[in-house]
Amino acid sequence: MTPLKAVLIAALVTPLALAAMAKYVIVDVREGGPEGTRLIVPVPIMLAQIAARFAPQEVRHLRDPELAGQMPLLRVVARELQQVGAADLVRIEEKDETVSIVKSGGDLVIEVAEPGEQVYVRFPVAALEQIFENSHGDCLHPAAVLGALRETSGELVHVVDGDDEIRISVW
Amino acid sequence: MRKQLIAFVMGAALLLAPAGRLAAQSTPWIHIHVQEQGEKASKVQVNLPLALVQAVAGVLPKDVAGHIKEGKIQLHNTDLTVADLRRIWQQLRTAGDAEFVSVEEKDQRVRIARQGDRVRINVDDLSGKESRVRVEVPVDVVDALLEGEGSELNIQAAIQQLQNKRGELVQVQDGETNVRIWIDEKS
Repeated sequence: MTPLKAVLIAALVTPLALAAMAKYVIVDVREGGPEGTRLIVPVPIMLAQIAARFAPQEVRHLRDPELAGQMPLLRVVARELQQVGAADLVRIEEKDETVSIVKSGGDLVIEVAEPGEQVYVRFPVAALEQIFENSHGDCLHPAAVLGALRETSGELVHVVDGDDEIRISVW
Repeated sequence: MRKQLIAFVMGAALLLAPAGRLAAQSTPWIHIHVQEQGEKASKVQVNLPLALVQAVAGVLPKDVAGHIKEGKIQLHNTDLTVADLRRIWQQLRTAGDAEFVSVEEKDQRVRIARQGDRVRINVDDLSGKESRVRVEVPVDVVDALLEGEGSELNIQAAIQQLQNKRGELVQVQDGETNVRIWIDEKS
């Protein structure tokens, strides 16, 4: 095999191999019910991380003035939740609404249900801690969030609002 | 009245302790259950490890701590500064059993008394409603709460004392609302 062939093969195979190994964030949006529109966007996390590095400053560093005050609290909660086993942490039942926050395995699961609307959010506590530990002041780094997503898999978000539905998962 | 009562009791439960019975190595959990009957029936259940509560107390902004604002405990319309409480407590700590706070209003009576190694907080509604609050606080928790200086309550130290307590902290019956706060080792 000539060096040129080797380089060409490597150039073709390497991205394919990386793509096969990489994890994807899959965003699935459905609007208007079964007859409506559906958009599925699979994004390789690795690619998104790279893109995040070259994104404009305001995207690389998501700033929220209120975040600075909350960050110590968020770090402590994430750190302490890591020590907690499976537990029903919060459950609120009202006439038309139920809210629950559960630690299940290594995940924090938040569910909200009310007529016509359902929200399910699952996030690994270790990833939360990683995100908050890598954030500074009033700044949250999308790259850190993406990095944390690489450590998990499965459905993270499922929102049903009438005929609209959003699913975000990592595979 | 009902919401004030619940807020007061839930705040007190985070600061104060029950008649503690044993110290254990296992992780203590605080449980706060609120149930409302009737038209607006609802149920709230919060179950948290005390270690988390203690850690959070250390980073909570002061103005978030419910009825404690700028170093003052607000007992409805009667404000007591922490300095006042500390002075009263220092005197009563050695005085033995005594009733040291009694607030009587048109529709409510609040009494705080020391009995043995416990401080008892009783709140009674005088307007004819079924309303009753009973809280028992071990003396060592009050010591911890007031051990700081200036106008600050040492909430973390008080919660630390709670780590050794198990059992009922608070029981409230207020018309259609029931509140129960206790510590055990079940998550």
